[in-house]
Amino acid sequence: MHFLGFAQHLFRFRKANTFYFLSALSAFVVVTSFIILIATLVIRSFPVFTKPSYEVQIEPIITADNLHTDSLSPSDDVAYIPDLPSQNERLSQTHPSQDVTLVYNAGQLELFQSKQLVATSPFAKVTQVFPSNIPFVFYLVVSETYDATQLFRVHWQANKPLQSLLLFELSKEQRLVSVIESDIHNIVHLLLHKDGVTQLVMLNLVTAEALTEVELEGIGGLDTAKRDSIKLRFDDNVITVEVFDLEASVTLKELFLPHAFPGYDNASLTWQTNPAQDYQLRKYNIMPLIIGSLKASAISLVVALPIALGAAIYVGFLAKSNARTWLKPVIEVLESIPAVIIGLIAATFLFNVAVSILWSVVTFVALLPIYMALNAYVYQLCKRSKFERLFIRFELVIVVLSLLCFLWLSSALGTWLTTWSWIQTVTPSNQIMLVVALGLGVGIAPTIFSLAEDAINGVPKTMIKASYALGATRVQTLSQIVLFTAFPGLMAAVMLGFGRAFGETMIVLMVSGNTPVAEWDIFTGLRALTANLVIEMPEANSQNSHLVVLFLTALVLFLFTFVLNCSAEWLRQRNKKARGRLQ
Amino acid sequence: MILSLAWFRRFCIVNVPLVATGLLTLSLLLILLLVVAKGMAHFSVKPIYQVTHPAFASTVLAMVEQRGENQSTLHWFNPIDKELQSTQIELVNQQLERLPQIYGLKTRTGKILFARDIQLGEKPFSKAEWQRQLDENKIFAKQIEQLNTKIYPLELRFAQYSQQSIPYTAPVFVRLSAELHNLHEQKRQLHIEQQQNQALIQFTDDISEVFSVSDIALVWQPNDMSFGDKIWFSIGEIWRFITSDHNASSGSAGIFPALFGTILMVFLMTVFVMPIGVLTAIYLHEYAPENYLVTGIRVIIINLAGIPSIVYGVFGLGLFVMGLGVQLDQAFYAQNLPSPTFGAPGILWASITMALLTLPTVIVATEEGLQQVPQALRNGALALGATKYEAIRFNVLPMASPNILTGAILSVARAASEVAPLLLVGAVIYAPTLPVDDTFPYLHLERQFMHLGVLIFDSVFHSSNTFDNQSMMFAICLLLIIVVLSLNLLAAILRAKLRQRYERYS
Amino acid sequence: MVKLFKSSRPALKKLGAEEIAVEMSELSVYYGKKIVLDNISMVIPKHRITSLIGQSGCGKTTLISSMNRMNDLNKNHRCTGSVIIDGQNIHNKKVNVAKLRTQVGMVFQTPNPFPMSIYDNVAFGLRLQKEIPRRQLDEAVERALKSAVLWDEVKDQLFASAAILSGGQQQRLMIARALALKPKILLLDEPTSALDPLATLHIEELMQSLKKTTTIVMITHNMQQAARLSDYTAFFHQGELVEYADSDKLFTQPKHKQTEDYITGRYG
Repeated sequence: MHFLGFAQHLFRFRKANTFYFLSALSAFVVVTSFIILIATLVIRSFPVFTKPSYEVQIEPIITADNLHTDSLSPSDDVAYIPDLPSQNERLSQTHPSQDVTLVYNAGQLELFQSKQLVATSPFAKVTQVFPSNIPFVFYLVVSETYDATQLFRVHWQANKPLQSLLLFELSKEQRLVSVIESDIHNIVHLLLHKDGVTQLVMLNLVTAEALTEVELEGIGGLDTAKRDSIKLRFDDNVITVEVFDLEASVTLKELFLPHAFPGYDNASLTWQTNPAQDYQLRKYNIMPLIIGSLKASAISLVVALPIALGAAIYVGFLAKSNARTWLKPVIEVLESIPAVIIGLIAATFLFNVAVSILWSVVTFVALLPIYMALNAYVYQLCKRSKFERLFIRFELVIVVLSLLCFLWLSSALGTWLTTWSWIQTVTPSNQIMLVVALGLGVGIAPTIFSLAEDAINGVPKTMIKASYALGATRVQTLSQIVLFTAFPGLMAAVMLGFGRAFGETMIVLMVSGNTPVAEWDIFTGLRALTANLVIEMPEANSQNSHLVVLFLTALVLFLFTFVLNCSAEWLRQRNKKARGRLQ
Repeated sequence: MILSLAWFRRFCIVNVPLVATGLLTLSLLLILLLVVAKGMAHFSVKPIYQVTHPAFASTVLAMVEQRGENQSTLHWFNPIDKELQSTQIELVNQQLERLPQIYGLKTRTGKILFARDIQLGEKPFSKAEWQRQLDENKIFAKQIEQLNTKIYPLELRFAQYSQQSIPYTAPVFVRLSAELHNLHEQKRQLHIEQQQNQALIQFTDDISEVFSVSDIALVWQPNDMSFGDKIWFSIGEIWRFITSDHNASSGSAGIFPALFGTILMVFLMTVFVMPIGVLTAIYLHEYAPENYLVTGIRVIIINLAGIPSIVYGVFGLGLFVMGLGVQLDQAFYAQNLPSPTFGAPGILWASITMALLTLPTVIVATEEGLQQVPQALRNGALALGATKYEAIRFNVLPMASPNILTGAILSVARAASEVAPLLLVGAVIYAPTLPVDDTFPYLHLERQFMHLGVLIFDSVFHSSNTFDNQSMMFAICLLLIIVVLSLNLLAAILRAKLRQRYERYS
Repeated sequence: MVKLFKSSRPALKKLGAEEIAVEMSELSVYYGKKIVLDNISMVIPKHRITSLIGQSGCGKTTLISSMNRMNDLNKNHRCTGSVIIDGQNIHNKKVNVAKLRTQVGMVFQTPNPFPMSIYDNVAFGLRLQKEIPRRQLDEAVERALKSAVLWDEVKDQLFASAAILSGGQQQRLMIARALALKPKILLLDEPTSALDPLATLHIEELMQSLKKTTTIVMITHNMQQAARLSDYTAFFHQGELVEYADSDKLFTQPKHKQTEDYITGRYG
């Protein structure tokens, strides 16, 4: 007998080892994919956490060649160095292309369009006025006192008073020389002179945070400005300041805190990435989306939980075993109805009947006790008659039939109710939430049902038998033993259902009005985080921060569901262990 | 009759869950029923009425869609514009008349016409005559085609001679010209004969138009069909639905490209997901030791299952389209830049993304199968000197193969019904070409494709009231539901059968 | 002690090296912290039937599993000491376990036929080794089934599923399956405990004929079977080898009281 290792080279054993290696490799690939998924999301949204930067390059002066090439649109020429005016002089600046002039005279700002006065507003102590390259926007330097100098951004909107936004505090020695605003990013570059040094500061226009700055020796003026490079002309050379990572100009504050946006009356949480007017800034606040998703998930749970948990209790515990064997697979097959189709039906069909459904549900719930009483009466009747056996065997079918009748009755009543005028005043005009609740609720109910039914069915049969043996009734066993033991599993089912609703895209997308509104009131519209990704991602501008913020929303989605899943799984494991010990 | 409150409370507690179950099942069944009913309606033969209504100057031919008590949507044929238009109108039954001799026609470009009468040449319309003329036209077309293949090389030579400045009087040239002239003349004759097969279509008493028979794809007389005819026509409609191309401009169209795209993507996805999923499950169940690393892998798989599908789409966009695709373009397809080849959404990236999405399904199903194989079987094989691999391959895997199949079926069903990630990584609403065609390399992995779910999604946003669009939406839904539900049903049946089979062996 | 009889079999202590199939020295097996076999030293003689008796759970199955390294499949398995077969310690890392198992065959307590035909069951081990032409395979299968005294009963239904056989036939099929590889040592774990008397008789006859070519180690609960069938018997108690001697001697003149109590049925 020779069975020492020399036979390892035989093909059989090499095959065996290769197979082992391949299967381990597959597991490794799975793990790596997961890690890469997280990494991709993090890396692509990382610019939110970083800031843009300036990089300086010095070039010798060349005379007429380094002239103005394509500068920031829409205006062509932003090269000028205004003189510093004295305090009481009449200041005026004309926007180059729009023929709009802002005049500061004796404490009043006056805006002229085509030499006609269109707006006026009191303002204190303006010392400088700069037109921006963005139409209808001006920058004002205001000096309350010698020490406190402030920079304001002022924009004009037809038929509205002039609005201003405080941006920056200048120190005693700083003098503002030029202002360059970006057309696709929410930033502005400020060129300042201070004690013989030229400073270039980048500000976030939404949060007024200073993002980055650079200092150069000497007094320089603006030569040309492009989106990613700014040329400054000094005495004997031209310095180019390159701007990198402009998509990192969005900041966390911008994403989560309310801000006062130009064109809006109050500080608000707004998501609007393609503003209509040029003077408006892109608004990247993601709170409306998060609130929208949370709203949709919460109201859908209101619809889904009763029917899913009730059904789980019935199928997992109360039903006869042969009812269970085909009922559970039927519901699980129905679980596989694609979400697109549920969304389609909700969007086309439900809207017509939403209001009558609402009142039908109200009548259903109101009449439920009467329905149950009727059932009880009929049950008692049948028990005494010869139909008893028939009744027990077909209990589910009979209930479904009577339910159908009852539903028809309550829907007829509900529709009749809607014709009452005072009902119509009470009805919320916005039916979107109702349809979302119904559609999304029916969509996630089967998921919650499967998990809850597993939890309830997993309560050890020995425990239940012991409970009966001690004289407990079915109901007592249900409430005292079964629900109590299965509780962590049920919690996990609810959490996973919430996670599923939060991550559901198609139903919400097809049904909701898709207006991003940051209000908890359930009767206003909503746009969910997921729907937003589908709407905006295909056309997101990769040059500004839009795409980065979208990736961040995907990361938020991922983290939310990740935390929910881990906790739900932990709960389920605890449930299993507890049951194991009790068995 | 004892009706104590306590008894009633117990009764309620037991029966309210029953009611809840009923509600759940009913709502889902209702959705199913709705789709089936409306979907089948798309293929049914709808009558064309002659409508007399004060809103119209004269009687019009129209199809009617009931909306409410008196409200209907009227899809009427405008003989001046030769187009179908839709309006909401209040109709009373007396205003509708069902004349037997009304024709519905569909042109080759997909336009739908209603007509009162059709004359084929001099004879009145009959199916046989129409078919005969169609066949004749086909023959003519073939002959013309043959002539064209003869003409083409001759014309090339003609151009060559002209270039070589051979005088027109040279005998070769004269012969060539004569031949060409002859062939062209034959072609002209054929064209004339083809044109003779014409149909005179009478829309109203004064408006009529002549169409070439070959321009008309389909003719039917909806008011004159027997039940058997209607069934046959519906089957024909279903067939046309599945096999014809989606014509974005016209109303009624087929879904063949979407069906093809879905199947191709699912196939590619299976190629990616099955090996990795099955091997990983085998590793986890047969080889892996019980330590924290392996528990970690299981946790990761559970988490992968819970990630929302749109996040996979974003990931696919971020890594494959914008990352890997751009790198591939720069390395291999630089000549096409700045127009992207792989740096844009396409069927390859879509398949890989969906493979990752359905990976947990396959792994879980396979592990379930592996668990059901009794340990004694493995021991028996090992005790006979089998290596672990041989024991798995010859003993365990055959027994677990139905479960593996279940995993594949479930993953296919999921891929056919997930829409959101595909919208980001490769599916479009209208793709001009299929990913497979007859130019090398035959399978174009960088092309975008159409998908059934995406079509459904789009139809909600661009739904018009033309009668075909609304019901076509439901027809696509019906197809999708049939596919997905039958796959899941198959998987459920397999699972149930397996449970019985294993009871015999343990 | 007066020798009341002379046995035709050599005494265990006097076995020469070429007469020993397996030699275990100071073998201890642990499952985690629990000790299952405690310092076992014994030799298994060649071409004889050795049976292992003892209470349930005293480590007999573990012992025979140590001889073909099937123990490795159990979690937290750890062993010290050596098991030497044919001059090599089989617990050596370099040992090719699969090859070992073709030489040291095992038949389990309950038959576990593969879901294949009878022919395929028997041919399974052979097919793994190398490509054997069909004729040779047929002959090998026939030989194995004949050795297991099953050939006559199944020769007309070789390609029927193995599940149609009765319990006794299945157990013989398991033996045939193991024998097809022509192992030098055959390990049997309670081979007849699930069988009726007639089947048991068949198996016992089979053992007797097999022992000329194969060393047989057998676990049994049936004292009479051990007494009449085996040449040598070892008695285990809670992981320790209590007594190991010629069967006749052990059953008539047990040296230890524990042994005597066990075989007379006073406990266990």
